[in-house]
Amino acid sequence: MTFGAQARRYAGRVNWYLVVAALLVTSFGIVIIQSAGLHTDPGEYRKQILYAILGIGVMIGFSRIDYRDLSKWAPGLYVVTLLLLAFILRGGHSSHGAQRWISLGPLGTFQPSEPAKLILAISIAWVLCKGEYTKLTELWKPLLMVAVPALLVAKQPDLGTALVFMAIMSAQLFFGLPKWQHFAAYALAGAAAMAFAIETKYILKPFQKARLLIFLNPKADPQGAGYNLNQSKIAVGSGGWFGRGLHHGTQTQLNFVPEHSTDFIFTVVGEELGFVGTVMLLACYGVLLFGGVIAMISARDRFGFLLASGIVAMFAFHIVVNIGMTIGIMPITGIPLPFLSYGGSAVLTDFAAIGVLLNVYAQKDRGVLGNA
Amino acid sequence: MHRRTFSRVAPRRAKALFYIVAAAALILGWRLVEVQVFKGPIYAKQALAQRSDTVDVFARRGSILDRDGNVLAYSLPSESVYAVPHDLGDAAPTIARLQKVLGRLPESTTALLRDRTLQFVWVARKIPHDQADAISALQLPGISVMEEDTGRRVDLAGQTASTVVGFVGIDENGLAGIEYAYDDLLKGTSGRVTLEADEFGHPIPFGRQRAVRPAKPGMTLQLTIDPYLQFVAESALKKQVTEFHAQSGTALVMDPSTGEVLALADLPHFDPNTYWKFSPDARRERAVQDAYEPGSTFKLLTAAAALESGKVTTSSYFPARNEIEVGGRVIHNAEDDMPVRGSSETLEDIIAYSHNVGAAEVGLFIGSKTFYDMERRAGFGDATHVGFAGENPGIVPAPADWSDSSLATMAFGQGVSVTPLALARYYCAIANGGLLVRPRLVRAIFDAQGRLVYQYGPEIERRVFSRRTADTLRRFLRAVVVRGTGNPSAQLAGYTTAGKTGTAQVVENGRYEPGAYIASFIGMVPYEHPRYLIYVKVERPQGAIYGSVVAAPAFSEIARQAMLHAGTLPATPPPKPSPKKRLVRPQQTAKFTP
Repeated sequence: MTFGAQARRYAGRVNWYLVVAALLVTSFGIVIIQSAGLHTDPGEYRKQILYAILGIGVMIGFSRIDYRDLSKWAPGLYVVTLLLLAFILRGGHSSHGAQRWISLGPLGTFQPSEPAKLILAISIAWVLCKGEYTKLTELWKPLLMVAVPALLVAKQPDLGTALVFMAIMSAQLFFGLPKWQHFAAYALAGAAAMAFAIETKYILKPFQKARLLIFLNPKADPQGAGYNLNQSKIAVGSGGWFGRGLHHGTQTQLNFVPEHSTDFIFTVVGEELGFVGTVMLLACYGVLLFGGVIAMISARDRFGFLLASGIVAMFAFHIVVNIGMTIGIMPITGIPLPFLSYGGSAVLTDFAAIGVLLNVYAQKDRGVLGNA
Repeated sequence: MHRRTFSRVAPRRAKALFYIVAAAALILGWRLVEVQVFKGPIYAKQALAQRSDTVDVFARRGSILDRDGNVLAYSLPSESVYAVPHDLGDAAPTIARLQKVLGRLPESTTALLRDRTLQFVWVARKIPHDQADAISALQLPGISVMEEDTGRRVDLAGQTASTVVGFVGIDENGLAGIEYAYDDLLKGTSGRVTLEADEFGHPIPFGRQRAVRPAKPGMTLQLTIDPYLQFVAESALKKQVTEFHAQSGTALVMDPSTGEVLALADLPHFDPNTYWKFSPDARRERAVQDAYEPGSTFKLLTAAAALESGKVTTSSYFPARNEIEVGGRVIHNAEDDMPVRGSSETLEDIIAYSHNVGAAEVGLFIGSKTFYDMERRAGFGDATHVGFAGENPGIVPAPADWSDSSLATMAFGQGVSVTPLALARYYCAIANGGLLVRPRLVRAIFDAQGRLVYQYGPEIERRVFSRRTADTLRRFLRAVVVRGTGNPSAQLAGYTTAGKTGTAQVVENGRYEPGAYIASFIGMVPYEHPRYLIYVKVERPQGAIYGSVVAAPAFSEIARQAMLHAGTLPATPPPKPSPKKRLVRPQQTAKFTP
C-alpha cells in the first residue's frame, strides 16, 4: 500500500469534526485568555499554550487506547478519584473560599474534579453495561456511583461540578435505560430532589442558593448576588454586533467582571468580539457536539455509545450552562467553558475526552479496517 | 439490555436528544441576539456609565513672585504617606524605618500607628518627592504613598517677606498674608473631568477623558516687593530690634509716587513652610494690623492742617513754653529745655525739635474742625485697602467724642491710633506733592501661561493738601534732620534725607504703660525729589526710647542701601580748591639764526 493510501485510510478513521473544533476553540481560547489576562495575569496565556500542547498529546494518547479497555480500568480509576476528592477536603489547596485543588508544587495546582467528570462517564457507562436495567430498583448502582463523588465535590463547595456529574449520568440513563418510563421516573425524582435541595437550608449554603436563583431576578441585589450576572450581561451586551475589539473590552479588562479568564471568559468574547464572535464560537461548539454525536452513533457497542453520550452530555452541559449563565438564562455555577477557559486540569480532561471519542469513532468500521 | 432493544431504542432517543440540544442552541442563540444586538446599545451605555467617573480636578495654585520675577512661593505636586495600622504587623521596626526617612514622627502619630484596630492613619502629609520615593522603595507592608489632590506649597523665600506672603494650610487654602487675601485668584477654579475608571475608581491609562469643565490653574501674582530692599529692611530692622532688645518691629519702604510697597518687614516673623511651629503673634501682619498711638510723627498732620487752612504760615510765631495746661491736663515737652520766658517759635521749629507744647498750641489755634477734617482727608481712620484681609483702620475719634484736652494731645499724636501703613501713606503725600496714593502690594497678575492678565497702576485717592503745603512740610522734615531731633542720626553722608522722629508711649488697656515706648522714624530720600519713603518702628526698646536713637539708624541704613540700589552714588562735596601754585615755566629763548 502506498503511503498516500495509508494516510487516506488513517485520515478516514479520524473524526475531523472533533479535532478541528477542539483545536479551533483552543487557539481561540488562547487569544482570548491573552486579552483577558492583559491587566491581571499576563502570563496565563503562555501556560494555557503549554496545557494545550500537553492536551493534544493526551488526546492522541487516548485515541490510541482501545476505549473498551477503559471499562476494565473503570473500578480502579473510580476508587482513586474518590480518594483524591476525599483527600482534597482535608489537605486541599484553597482559593476563593473553596478547596478544589491539590498543590503540585512548582507545577501549579491540580483540580481532581475535572478528570473526575471523564472517569465518572466511563464508570457509569461500565455500570450500565453490567446489568439489564429492566427493573427500576437496579438504578441504585449508578445513582450511588454518582452520589458519592457529587457530594464530595459539593462539599468543596463546587456545585457546578456536582451538577455536571448529574448531567453525565442523566444522559447515559436516557440512552441506557430500556424503558422510557424508568427514565421519566428518574427525571421526576431528580427534579423533586433538586427542588428540595433549593428549598431546604441544609444542603446548599445561603450564598449558593442566592447565586443559583439570582438569574431569575438579577435586579434584586445588583451589588451582591446579582453583581456577577449584571456585570457579565453588561460586558457581553456592550460588545454589540462587532465588539469593542480585542484588548479593548473595558468591562472585562478592568475587573468589573470577575474570573474573566476562567468561568466568565465568554464575557470577554462577547465584549471584545461582539455578536459575530459569540456566534462563531457557538458554531465551533456546534461542530464539536456534532462530531461527538457522530462518534456516539457510530459506536460499535453499547459501552462505546453510552460512554460517548456521557462525554457529549458533559460538553453540552458545560457549554449551555456556562454561556447561559453569562447572559442570564442559567444559574451561576462555577464551571468552565470547554477548551476556552484558562485551566490545566480542565484542558487536559477535555482533550482526553476528545481522545476517547476519537477512539470510539475510529472503531466504527473495525471489521473493514482489520487490526488497525 | 438486549442488543436488539438497544439498537431499536437508541436512534429514537438520539432524535429526542437532538431536539433537546437544538432547542438549547436556539435559546442560547436567541438570547445572544437579544443581549448583544437588541439591548447592546443599552448595555454599552451602562458600561460607559459604570466605568466613567466624574471627579473634581484641582487647579494648580498660582505662584507668588517678587517684583523682579523671583519666585517667593509656588506649588508642586504633592505626595503623602499613610498607614493601615491593621496591616502593619510589628509597628516598632516600621516606625524606625519611616523615621529614618522622614525624621522624627510626632508622638501622636506613632501612637496611632501602634493601634492595630485602625484602618487609616496619615503618617506624613505633603512630603518632598524624594522622601516619598524613598518611602515607596522601602515597600513596608501597610505603608503607602498617595498623590494628593492639592499641591505642596514651597516658600522659597522662607522667612523673608513671610508676613507679606503669608502661608497656606494643608489643603493649600490661603490662611494669611497675600496667600489668604488673594486666595481666590491664586487657587484658580477646580474643574470636573469624566474619565474611564476601573472598579476601584482608578483612571484607566489612555482611557477617554472628557473634561466637563476644565480646571483653570491659579493666577500668578507679582508683588511690588523688591527683594533687595526687603532684605535690607529686614536686616536693618533686625539690627535695631536686637540691639535694643525690643519686642517687635516694622519697617516699610514705599515708592511715594506710586504707592508701591517695596519692602515690608515685620519682626518677629516666621517660616511659611513650617508655619505651625511659630506663634500666631509671629505670623501677624503688623504693618496693617497693629494700630498704635503714633506720637510725634503725627505732628505733621497738625502742621498740614495749620498750613492748608491758611490760619498759620511759615512765619507765624507761637509762644515757646515748657508746659501748657489744657482741659485740666498739663502737657510737657519731652525735655524742659526752652530758653527764656517770652521767646517764641515757628511751626518749623516745633516740628524740627518736636515740641509737644508747640504742637498743642497750633492744634488749639486752628480748631477741632480744621484738625479733624485734615485727619480724615489724610485717610486716618480708614483702611488703606492695600490688599490684606483684616486691616486695622485705626481709631480717629470724631470731635463730638473728644474730651477737653483731646485736640491738644492729638496735635502731637496722642489719643489717635494709626497703622504703620496708614502713616506711611500720609507721608507719601508729603513726599509726592500732596496726593493720597493707595499702597499696593500686588504689581501684576499673570495667568498660568505667563500672560499678563492685569497690571496695577498707581491709584490716587485724592489730594490731601496743596503742592505748596507739601513742599513746606517736606522742608520741615528736612529741618528735623539738619538741625532738629534727627540730627545727626538720620543724616546720611552724600544723600539728602528728611524725616520725623517719633517716640510714643505704649497704650495698654486704655492707659499709658510706664516705661513702654514705641520708637519710630519716618522719612524720605532724597529730599529734593523723594524716591523712597522709609518707615521704621521699634516697639518696647530697652536702654533707649527715642526714635532718633532706636529707629533712625535703621532708616539711614535702608535709605543708603536704597539709593545705592537705585544706582545713585553718594554725592561727594566738591573738593576745596587747592592753593594756587605758581607755574614757573622755563624762559624760552628763541634764537634765530639767519
